[in-house]
Amino acid sequence: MNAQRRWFCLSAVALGLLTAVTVVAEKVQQKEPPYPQSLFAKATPDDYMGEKDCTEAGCHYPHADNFNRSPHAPFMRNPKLPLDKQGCEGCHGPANPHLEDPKKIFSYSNSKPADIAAMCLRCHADTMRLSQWHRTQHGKADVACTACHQIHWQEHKEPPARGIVNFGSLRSPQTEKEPQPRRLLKFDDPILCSQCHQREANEFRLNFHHPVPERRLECSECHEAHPSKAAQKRFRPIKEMCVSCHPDKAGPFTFEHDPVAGWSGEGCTECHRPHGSQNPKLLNAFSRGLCTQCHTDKSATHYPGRTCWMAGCHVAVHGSNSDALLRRP
Amino acid sequence: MKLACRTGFKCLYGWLAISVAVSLLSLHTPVQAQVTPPSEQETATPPESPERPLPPPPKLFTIDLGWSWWNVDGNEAKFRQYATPPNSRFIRELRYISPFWRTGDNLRLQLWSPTEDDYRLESNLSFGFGATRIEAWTTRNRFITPVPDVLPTSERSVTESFLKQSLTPDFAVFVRYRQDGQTHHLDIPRTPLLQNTRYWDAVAEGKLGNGQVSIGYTDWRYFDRTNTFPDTSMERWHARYLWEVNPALALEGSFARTELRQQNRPASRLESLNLSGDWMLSNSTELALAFWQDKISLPVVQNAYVRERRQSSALLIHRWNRWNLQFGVREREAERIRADQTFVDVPRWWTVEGRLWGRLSKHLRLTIRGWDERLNDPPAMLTADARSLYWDNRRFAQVKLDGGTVLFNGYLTYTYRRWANGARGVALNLKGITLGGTWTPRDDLSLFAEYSSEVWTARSEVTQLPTLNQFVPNSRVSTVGFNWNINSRATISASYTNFVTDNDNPLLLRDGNTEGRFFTANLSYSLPQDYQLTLTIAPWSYRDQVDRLMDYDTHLVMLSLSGRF
Repeated sequence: MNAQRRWFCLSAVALGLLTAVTVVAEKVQQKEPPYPQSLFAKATPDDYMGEKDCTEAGCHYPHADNFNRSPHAPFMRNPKLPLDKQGCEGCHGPANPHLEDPKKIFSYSNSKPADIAAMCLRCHADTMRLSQWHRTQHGKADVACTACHQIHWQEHKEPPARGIVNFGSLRSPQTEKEPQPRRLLKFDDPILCSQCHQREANEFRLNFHHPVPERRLECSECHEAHPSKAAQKRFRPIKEMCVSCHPDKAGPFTFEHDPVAGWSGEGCTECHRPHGSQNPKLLNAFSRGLCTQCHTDKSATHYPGRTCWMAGCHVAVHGSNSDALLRRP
Repeated sequence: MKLACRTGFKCLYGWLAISVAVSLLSLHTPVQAQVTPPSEQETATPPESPERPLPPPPKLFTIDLGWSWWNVDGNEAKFRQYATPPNSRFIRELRYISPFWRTGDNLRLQLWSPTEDDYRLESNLSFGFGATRIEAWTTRNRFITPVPDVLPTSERSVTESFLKQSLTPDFAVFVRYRQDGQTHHLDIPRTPLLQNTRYWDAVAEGKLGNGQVSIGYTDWRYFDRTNTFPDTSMERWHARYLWEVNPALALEGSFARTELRQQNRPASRLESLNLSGDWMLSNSTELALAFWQDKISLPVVQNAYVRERRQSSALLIHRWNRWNLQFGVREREAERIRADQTFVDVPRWWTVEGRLWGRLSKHLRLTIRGWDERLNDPPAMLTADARSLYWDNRRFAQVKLDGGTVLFNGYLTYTYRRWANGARGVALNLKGITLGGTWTPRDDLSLFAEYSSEVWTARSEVTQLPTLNQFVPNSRVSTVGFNWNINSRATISASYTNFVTDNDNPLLLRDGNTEGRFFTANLSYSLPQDYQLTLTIAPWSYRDQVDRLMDYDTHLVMLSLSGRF
């Protein structure tokens, strides 16, 4: 296929050029790894003091107490880990230079998001590499790991400062409790996600919505915060992610409803609003208005007064194995 | 085929047994603690300081129980559409967190609402300083389709277990098993759905050389007990490698092959190839390229379908001072064929996208983003009306202003979306605004409010009533509330939410003109020794202007006591 060959060749040439240019550039640049990895590359074993000195001196006692409660604590006290991945210095860098100059330590509250990601991914290499983080939507938007995760442990009894602060109480008081964060998240989603994605979170307040406020679903069941991690991916049976919970829509059907089926169009979101909608079934438009957006020739004269998929008509709108006009499953 | 537990309680008891077994397994952990070297024991000892006594050890058990009364007047099914609160005595939560975390092991058991229609059991166990992690959870939800007719209760049960075993600090093997059983009773004329899906996958991924590798296998099976849909199985293999050529350049390639089989039908196949690269041109500029291709063979399908689809994209990101700019282009194409493999067409879409964000001042941030997608080669239609059914232009734009101080912070989002099909004279527009903020006048008091409005307009070549514009309702949602710590023991929080749907509703259907008013107030009082008493009052009201059988009023009262010990 010509078009395929053309695109493949273009991509190959582009990537080849990039490689060539960068390999040349690499020869010019110094071998030393960039900051903040350089903190560890430069350090000698004498630069590491150990966790005890950080806390016994009394300087970082509150942090140590929080850290003891953190799920990080047992992992980072593994004696088999190399010195540069143990205790406080595993995340903050060697502490001896810090004694001479208090600024010589890696501080997560004053660092760039990319530098924070570089530090976290020193250990979380099975989640992603730094270059993969750069390509994530959060990475592109300069959202640091610490925007969602906490390194030490702190129980957040206070509501977060932004977004929908009492999300759980909207419909289901039985689920409204103080958040019990997992995976060192600052809050459980959707509270956490609503801190930045206020508009999307607000859609869950509409009359018809996925049961996220009721805690039957979590944002992370549909959205992948770490998209490079295959082990955390929901399986997508060919089409959209939606069919992992709605498998009767998966097909393939003898008569597909393309582009709604997702082969060439947007798939489920051609007709549905995934967070919430003012229309039943999370639809973009009400009743037969949904179908007449595209099928204008069926607008007013084709069985007027009825909803297309009800009353025995096109009941198999997602695809049919027996009828080309999608009137039977 | 009996794949899921027929009753949730049997399933729950099974999981309780597993949880007990996991607890017993965790009893090994003190032994591990004994064999850890003395030097590590020293490190693991919590810091001691004569001036600052150690805080009390964390409480291991949490229990939360109470009593609730719905007091519903009207359509109970609508009230229970998304969740069923307890209606009598209830146990909300039982939680146990093991004390072994200081020695490199961790256990957590959590059970929510074990006596209710909706329950969830979750257990996590990790040991060997995180080298092995086992997670398992099971959940059941019961719900009723909210129609005036009486329908049987629908049910969904999901069970999932997950194992991670690190082979090296940077490389791990993951195995997951999931089973999902659904019994869904729908409004007439649709038939009930009685279906099960189960899948397992195994993935090995982590650092390999100067990059990251991932190899995996997935087996997914679907069974329909009503025989409406054919039983389906899918097998998928994937392999991916990321090569970090140097700190400035990374290249990644992945390939996946999926084979799909349905009862008494020919096998289908999907092959996906993905190539991408990320190049740091300088400390402030970055270029990302991606190419993605699917080859699809669907001999099952009889109407026109996509045999091959491709997408290429380039994105440039530049950062300066407190600002960040992104600009990207994307091309997507889909080659369509008929069932006899004859060529139909290749529709192509071009998308231009951009994003600019940064700080206007120390406390104020601005984000502007948008994209414009155009269909360049409209598809050929074989229907009676041969004009394109595809959107030929889609636009999206959003402006967001957010920020604030400790005293006050807020956000304002304006969204514009337009979908158009020029061939049929259709245009669908959305203008939305979301405005919210939190005001903290005192340390013990915070107030919040949010308002959101969506205005939809539509036009079509058809001007005869009812027009398309009459089927795109507007909506408004507003919320106000506060959190007030009355004293060191008592806290009160309350919120009021109101939503309204404005709909012309020319067919006079239910669910078109609705209004909900939800007031929820919580009063919490902390008792000595980590016990807490909570009173919840929730007068809610829902109105459907067309079908009064959908209305309900409730004055929910709930009293709960939680304790840690």
